[in-house]
Amino acid sequence: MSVPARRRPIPRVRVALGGVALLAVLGSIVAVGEALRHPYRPETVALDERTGSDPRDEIMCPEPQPREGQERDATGDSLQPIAVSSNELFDCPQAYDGQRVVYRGEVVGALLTRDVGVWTQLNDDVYAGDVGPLPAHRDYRGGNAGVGVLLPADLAAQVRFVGGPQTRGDVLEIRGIFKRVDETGEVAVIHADNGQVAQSGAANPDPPLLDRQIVAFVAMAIALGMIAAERTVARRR
Amino acid sequence: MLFRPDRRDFSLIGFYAGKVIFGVGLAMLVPAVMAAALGERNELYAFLLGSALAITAGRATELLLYTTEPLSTSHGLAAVALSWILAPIFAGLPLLLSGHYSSYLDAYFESMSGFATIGLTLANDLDHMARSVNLWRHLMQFIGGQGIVIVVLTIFASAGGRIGYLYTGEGREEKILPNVIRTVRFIWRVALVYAVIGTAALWAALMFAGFTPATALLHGANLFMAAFDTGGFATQSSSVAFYRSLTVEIVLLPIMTAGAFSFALHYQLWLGRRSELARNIETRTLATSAFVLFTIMVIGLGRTGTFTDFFVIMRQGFFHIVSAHTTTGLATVPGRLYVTDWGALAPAMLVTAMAFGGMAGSTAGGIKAMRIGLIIKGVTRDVRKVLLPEDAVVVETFHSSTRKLLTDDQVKAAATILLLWLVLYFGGGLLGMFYGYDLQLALFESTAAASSGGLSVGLVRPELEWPLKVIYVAQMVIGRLEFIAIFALFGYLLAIVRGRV
Repeated sequence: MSVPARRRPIPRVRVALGGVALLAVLGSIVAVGEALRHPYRPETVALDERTGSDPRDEIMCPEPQPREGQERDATGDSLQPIAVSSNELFDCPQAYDGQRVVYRGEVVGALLTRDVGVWTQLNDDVYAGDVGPLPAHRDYRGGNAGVGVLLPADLAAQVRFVGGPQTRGDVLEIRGIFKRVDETGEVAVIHADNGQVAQSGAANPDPPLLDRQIVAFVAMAIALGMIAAERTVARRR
Repeated sequence: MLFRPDRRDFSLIGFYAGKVIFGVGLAMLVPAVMAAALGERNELYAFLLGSALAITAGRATELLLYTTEPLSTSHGLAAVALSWILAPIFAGLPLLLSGHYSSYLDAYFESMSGFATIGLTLANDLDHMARSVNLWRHLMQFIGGQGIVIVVLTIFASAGGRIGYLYTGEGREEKILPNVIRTVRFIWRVALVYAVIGTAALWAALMFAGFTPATALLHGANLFMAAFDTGGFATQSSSVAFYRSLTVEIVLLPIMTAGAFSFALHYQLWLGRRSELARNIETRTLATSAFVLFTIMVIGLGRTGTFTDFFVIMRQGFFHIVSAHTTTGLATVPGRLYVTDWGALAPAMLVTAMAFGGMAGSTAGGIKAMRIGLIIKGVTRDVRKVLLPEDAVVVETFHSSTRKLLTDDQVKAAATILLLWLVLYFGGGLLGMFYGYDLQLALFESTAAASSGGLSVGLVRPELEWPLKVIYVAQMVIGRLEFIAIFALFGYLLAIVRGRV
């Protein structure tokens, strides 16, 4: 640390007061942020009921099932599909590899049409269910990414809403084969052969928050005033 | 002996931190414009509010602490560290108001993760996040990748010739051109040229993957910032896997690699000196390390039967090793599979690659190829000394722009920083274990946070215990600034308490 010719250290009490003032400013920013967040939705159910997986939980995988085509009954019907969640698939990919599964999730992001079908991501986190997408409420429960699904073109054509900003996507229930690795190198995906729209999506508008608008305008006016003041003082120096 | 700071010290540190906060406030107007264009009204007012508070705080600080005193090294380092700690408070406000973060701590974590180009996220329901907020997350990576202080003081506010000390504080040591201003301009030129080429290439690849032109452009721009600035955020919760496109992954590989190259190397390539690629100690170290780690990873994935097809091993293994080694953190598989389906060897190679990191003076984090190369050279020299006659003079050289003589001081400095990095990695890992996570998970996530690697096994999530969030934030900023600037700031704090008059 450089030592100037004449040092006049600031008394510790003044430094402490300065520190408290800085903390007060930062605290007020946090308080403004908390005050202007999206309001609670009246019908919101209990908070902090986390439904995401915890990496500390012991993973209990089912016994590996007979693969598709390995064991069929006398009538030749395919095996019953197993209802799965994305957490179960990612926790036990080897147990479910090649199994016929039934999976339900919200169409999010996009529908990507290819020669072999239509790729999409079906997210089965809580926001695809009764809780509904953010930011319409403050019922935070973590989340997951869902599973990549290759849809047949006719099923993809039934999708009207793709989930994204201010849009709640259609919830699809699909049946198909879970593949740890498919022929094209995609990992942990489901190749669906049939399914249906289980719940129709909808627009999910974010109503304007008046208090946020007012505070933003006032803060902007103060900021512009501060810029003008700084410029004036700078010219006088 | 420590001297208690006087008004001059406070003014210098606060004045420049104020300039940076002001600049961050102006940067928030970029996503505000996008929010206005897309009709995202609540986000528009969130960005205006965040911007206004940062501008007011920044300008008020400049008014109160105005100084014309020259900036010294210690002041510059402390100002940089303070700027990095304060900037995410302002940058996190629009994130909190987006409605996707459960607390201000989570929004602060996300901002620090963005600025420090880490890529770990605490966002809830990312798939429904507003486009302007997603742009801000990625823009923070672009700003932080080049260096917050450098960006705001060269674009949004002026620091004149005094920028040199601040440039050093952000983990950059090498002046590429004779003065810092020209060096910073060159860094900008490189970043913008790559931005145009990279975004265009990703735009084309995404349209080929099935996106509409407008959506492809938005995803392409965000993906470019995440890849070139080795950031690792993604617009969708499934990261790059969302695109289901080999073409997109192939386009991302050179962009991530370019981000991990030092700007000094870019300068040599800019001058047409392509032979530098083969001779440079860092490119050699990176290439060797990536090859060795990839080979072991392939063996690991083969042994566990994760992938049996050569094409799939090449596609998944190579993308992940490049993503980890460049400390980008983009992924093509769900992170949970690293634990449940990749065995032990392959994730260990990912951790090692993240820990090593990219080149010194790049946007990448980690120990850095230069230090690893110097230490290996130092060990080689010592072994040769032992094997040769006692009176033999053993000289070791390395190539970095020019041929240089290896000195004991260089090896010692590299070894010291290496030790600090290991302490940082294992320290975070130990705390993770304290909260009941397995060693493998705790060390993976700790290394990802400190090195800016950003790949995740799922430990970092909104439900994570708050002390771990705080520790990871500390690891992010300490790792990004490479220790010294943070030490300087704490030196001043210690001097307030224990310094002499």
